[in-house]
Amino acid sequence: MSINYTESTMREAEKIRDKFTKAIELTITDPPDVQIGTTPHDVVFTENKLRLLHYRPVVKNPQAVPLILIFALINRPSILDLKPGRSVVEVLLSKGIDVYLIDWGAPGDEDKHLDLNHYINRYIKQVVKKVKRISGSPKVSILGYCMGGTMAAMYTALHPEDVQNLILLTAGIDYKVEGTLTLWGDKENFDVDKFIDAYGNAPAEFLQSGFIFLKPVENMISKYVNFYENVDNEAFVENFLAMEKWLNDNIAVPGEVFREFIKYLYQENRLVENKLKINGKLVELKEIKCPVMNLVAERDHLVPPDSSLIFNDLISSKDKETIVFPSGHIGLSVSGRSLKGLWPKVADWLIERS
Amino acid sequence: MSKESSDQSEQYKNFYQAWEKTMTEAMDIWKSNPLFNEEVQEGADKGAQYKKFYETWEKSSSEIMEKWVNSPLFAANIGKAVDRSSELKKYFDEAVEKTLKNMRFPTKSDIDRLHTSINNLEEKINDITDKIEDLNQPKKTSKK
Repeated sequence: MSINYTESTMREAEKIRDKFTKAIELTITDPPDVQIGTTPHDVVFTENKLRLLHYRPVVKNPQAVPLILIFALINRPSILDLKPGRSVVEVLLSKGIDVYLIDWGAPGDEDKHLDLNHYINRYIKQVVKKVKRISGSPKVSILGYCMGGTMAAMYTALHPEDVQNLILLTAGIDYKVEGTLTLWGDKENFDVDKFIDAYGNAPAEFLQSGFIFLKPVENMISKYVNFYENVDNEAFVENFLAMEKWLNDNIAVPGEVFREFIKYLYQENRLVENKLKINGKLVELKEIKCPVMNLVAERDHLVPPDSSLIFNDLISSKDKETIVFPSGHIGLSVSGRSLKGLWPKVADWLIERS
Repeated sequence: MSKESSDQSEQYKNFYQAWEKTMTEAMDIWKSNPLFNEEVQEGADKGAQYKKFYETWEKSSSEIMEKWVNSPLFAANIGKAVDRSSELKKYFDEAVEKTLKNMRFPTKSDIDRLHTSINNLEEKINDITDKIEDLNQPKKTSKK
């Protein structure tokens, strides 16, 4: 067996070398300074690490009922405003919606005691009060993403008088639905008390490596091969680097709220079984009577679609809708298809009810 | 052999068989690559051959790895690793904390407590600001 070293093979090798060097420069040795979350906004409220952002309207008379975006406690909310042309916030603003976003900030060790009660009855409650005061609206609309969606559902169940419309985006509701995270978080496999008692908060590196291991080949190999193949495509590179910046900007999750999510939801499924109490008060999903839009990602590997789909059966709202969109967990907020085909529809749904 | 270890060895066996199957498929494609054939013609698309090889490898590896991380065996082992790491972290933190206390230095817990007090104060200030804003709101007048 011998290798035929022709001139074309050499040319091919040079091309490969140049592409490889460019890919390494862009990702490791000389990465460009990529800015994400740049839509103009003002910080209108702060408490501890929390910052409430108010996006500057781009139409003369924005909708009277403001919308609050509640992101998960894992990773940063800038995924909802990744870059111009790849931003849910931008689409909503262009449709005339008055948009606020909760940036939870990066918790420190001193925040390890923050629990669901603090997040729901203190932070979200304070934010809603502030937004109502700024906008003059007696109610607000809420959009919760992932874990933020679960918390938005809890808030609406506990404080229905505050919420005009509720939009859930890939929110985990039923945790008995089979999935990798459910298996890893199972009582038999994971002693959350021991873990949080030792670490205080759930470390960012722990969470990040868990997400990488959900799809190890895609996250550690395919993604970079795909990048190498498209390294000469400027638009692809821009999007890739913006996504990488977001994916690698990890934050810890406060210990108590992590413990409660794992124990009460992943291990005991209390929300669906109507047994979850926050500050002594039962969280009853049937108390939700406002219009609801439930957005589910068909290929979600973090929150299995069935975990979200059950939500509309557990609430009392008469005006409720579910959209199952052909995308993954993150694609639902950043893919070109969802930004063109889904979000304008969501904005119209909201406008009709504001 | 206990039931648990029999289940485990069955899972290892399944994993090995899946890996072996992938490798055989990948090797067949590799062997048919014109780069390994002396009769290769100038201009043959070697890149496409490599790409096909990689795609087969990627697809099957991805399936195997996903099966692996979704197995109870993986979940149990990762859980054990997290347990051990938690024990080690706790032991190390307690040792550092004791040392610093003995040396009359402020510990991480002391600094955390201080931060918590500041955060609590900030919450109180926000509550007071809130009340002041409430008082400044124009009062609703009710008609008699």
